[in-house]
Amino acid sequence: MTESELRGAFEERRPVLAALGEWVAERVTASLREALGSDEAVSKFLQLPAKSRVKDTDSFLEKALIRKPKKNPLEEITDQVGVRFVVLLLEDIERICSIVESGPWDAQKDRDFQIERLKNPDYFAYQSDHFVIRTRSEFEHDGVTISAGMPCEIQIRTILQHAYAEMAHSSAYKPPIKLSEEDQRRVSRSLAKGSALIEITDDVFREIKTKLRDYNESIEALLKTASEVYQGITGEPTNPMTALGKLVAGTYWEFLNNVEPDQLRDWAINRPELKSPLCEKRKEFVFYRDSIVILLGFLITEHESEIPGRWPVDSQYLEDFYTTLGISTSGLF
Amino acid sequence: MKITNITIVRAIVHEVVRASQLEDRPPILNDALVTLNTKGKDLVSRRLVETVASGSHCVDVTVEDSTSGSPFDRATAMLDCSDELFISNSKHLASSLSNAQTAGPIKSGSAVFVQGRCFADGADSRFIAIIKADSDQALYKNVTGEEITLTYVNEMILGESQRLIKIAFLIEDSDSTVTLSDALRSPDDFSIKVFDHLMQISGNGEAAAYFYRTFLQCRLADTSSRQTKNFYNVARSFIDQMPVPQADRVDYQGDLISYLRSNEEILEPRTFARRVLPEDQRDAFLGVCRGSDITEAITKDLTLLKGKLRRRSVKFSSNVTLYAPPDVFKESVRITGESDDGWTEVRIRGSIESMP
Repeated sequence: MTESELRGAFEERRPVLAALGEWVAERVTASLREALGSDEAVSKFLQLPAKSRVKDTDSFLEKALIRKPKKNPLEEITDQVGVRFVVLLLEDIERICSIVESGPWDAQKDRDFQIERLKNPDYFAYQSDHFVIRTRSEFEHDGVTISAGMPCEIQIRTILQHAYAEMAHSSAYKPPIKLSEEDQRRVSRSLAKGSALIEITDDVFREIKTKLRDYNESIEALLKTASEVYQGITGEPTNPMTALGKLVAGTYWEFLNNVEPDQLRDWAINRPELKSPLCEKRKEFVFYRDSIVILLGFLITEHESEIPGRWPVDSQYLEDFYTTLGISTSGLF
Repeated sequence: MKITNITIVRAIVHEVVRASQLEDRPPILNDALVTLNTKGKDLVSRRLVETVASGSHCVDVTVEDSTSGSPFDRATAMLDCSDELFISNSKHLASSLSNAQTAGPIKSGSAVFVQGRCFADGADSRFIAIIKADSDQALYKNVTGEEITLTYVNEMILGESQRLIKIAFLIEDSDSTVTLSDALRSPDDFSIKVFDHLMQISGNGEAAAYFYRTFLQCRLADTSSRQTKNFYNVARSFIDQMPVPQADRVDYQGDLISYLRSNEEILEPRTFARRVLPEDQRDAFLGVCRGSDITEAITKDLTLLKGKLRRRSVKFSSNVTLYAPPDVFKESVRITGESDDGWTEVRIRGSIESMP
C-alpha cells in the first residue's frame, strides 16, 4: 500500500473510528452509571467528561510508515482511536479497569504502552493502564457500520496523572533537538522527580480517603446503634444521622474512637430507668427526640467532667440531661 | 447514690426564721399543699439531683432518735399519711427547724417538704425531702415591646446557688415493707443523705451541725473512717499508676495528703480531681472511684490514716529512705529528676544541722 493509498484508507475509516470511540465511551459510562446509581454520581466520579479522539492522519502515517513500520498498519496500529477517562483517585482507576475488562469486547492491556513505559520510566513511572479493546462482531452504531476486530485504545488516569502527562508530553517540554547527555540526564531526573511526586500525592489522597472512610464508618455504626437502642427504649424510630448527632459525635470523637456498638447496648441495658424520662421528654423537647442522647448518655457516664467544657451548643440541654441521668452538675458547668 | 426519674407527689412550703426571731412573730405556716407546674417540678428535681445524686457533696447520716414524735418519725410518716397529716407534720418540722436555727450564719428562709418517687440506684423508691431554702435576691428581666426593665426580686428560692440550700433526703429502701400506716418506721428501712454547703467549708463543723444534728437528730454515718481510708487507698493507687514522671508522682502524692489534711469536713472525688489531678486524668479517676463505690462525698474521718498522714516518706531503690512531716516535705523537698546513671537528684531546703 502506497502512502497515498494508506492515507485514503485511513481517511475513509475516520467516521467508523469516531463512531467506535463514541460507542466505547458510552458503554463504559453506562456501566458506571449502573454501578454508581445516577448521572450525577458519574459526572462527579469522572473529573473530565469521557472523551474519544481519532488519531491525526499525519500522526497515523508517521507511526505506520516511519516510527513503527507495520505490514498491515490498519490492523496492527491499536491507537487509531482512543478514549480517555480521568478520575480522582487510584482506586477509581481500578473501578474503571474492571468495567473495561468485562465489557462486550475483547480487552487486553496495551502491550505497546507497557513496553514504552519500561523504556521511558521517567515519563511513565506512574501507575496507569492503557487497554486495547477489539470489537467481537460487526454492528451498527449511530448509523455507522463497525466491523469485527476494530481496535480502540482506552486510557485511564487520575487527574494528577493526567496533569502530569499533559505537561510532560506537551511540546513545551520536548526538546526540538537532541540534548547533550548531561542535559538529558538532568531533564530525566527532573521528570522522575515530578512523576514520583505525582505518585506520592496520589498515595496521600488515597490514605486520607481511607482514613476518612474508617472514621465515617465507625461514627455511622455508633449513631446507628444509638438509634436502634433508642427505638428499643422508646419504641419510636429515629433518624440516626441528624445534624445534631453528627455535631455531637464529631465534638467527642476522641472519646468515641475505641467505643464498640456493644458497649452502647450494654450501657442502655443497665439503665432501665431511662425509659420513662425519654418517653416523657421526647413529647416536649426535640433534643430528646434525637437518638444522639443515647451516645451522649454513654459519654457522660464515662467522662462526666470533660463533656461540659466542649459541649458545642447551649448547655441547658446538657445540664438537663445530666439531671435525667442522675449525675450532679455541681461544679461542672 | 444514683438518683434518677424523680416524680413529685405532693409538696408544701413554710417560712422558717432564726430562733431569736420567734419571739417577735411566729413564722408563716402554710395550710395548703403547693401546686407546681412541670417546669417547677423539673427545677425542684434538678436541685435534688444536683445535691444528692452521684458526684454531689451530700453525706450519709445515721438517725439517733427515731422514737415517736422524733423528726425521723414525723418525716417518714409523711410517706403514707393523709394530706391533713402531711400538712400538720410539715408544720411541726418547720417549727423545729426555726427553733434549731440558733447559731452561725443562718438566714430566714423557707422549708420545702417534698414527697415523691425516684429511682435510687435503679430501684423504684419513695422519698421525703426537706429542703431549707434561703431567699436570694435577683433582678427580674421584663421585656415589653422594645423596652427591657429590671425589677428587684428579694424572695427568690431554689436558684443555682448551692450556698442557699440544705437538704435532708430520706429514701425508703425499695424492699422495706410497710405494715401499718401509723406504725413507727425503722431507720434501717431508709438511706438518709444530707447536703449542707457549710460542710465543704473549712472550720464550720459546728455551724453545719445544726441542720443534721439539732434539727434532724442524726449524726454523721459511722462508716466515715473506713470510707476515708478507702478514698485514700483508691487515690493513692491511682496516682501510682498515672502515666507521669516519678518526680510529678511524688508531687501528686503530696497533694493528696494536703487534701486529706485540709480543714474541710468532707472528701469528694470531683473536688479532689479538679484540685489535684491533670485534666486528662480526672474522668479516669472518677471512673476508678465509681468502681470502688465512691460516688458521692465522704465525711472525713482520719482515724485510720493517722500514721500515714503524720509523715511522708520516699524510699529509693538503694534502701535510702527520706522522711519528713507532710507540710515540711511539700515545702522543702524537691525531687528534680532521675537520671539514667541510677542517681536521683533531690534538693532539700536548709543546711545540715546535725548528724546524730
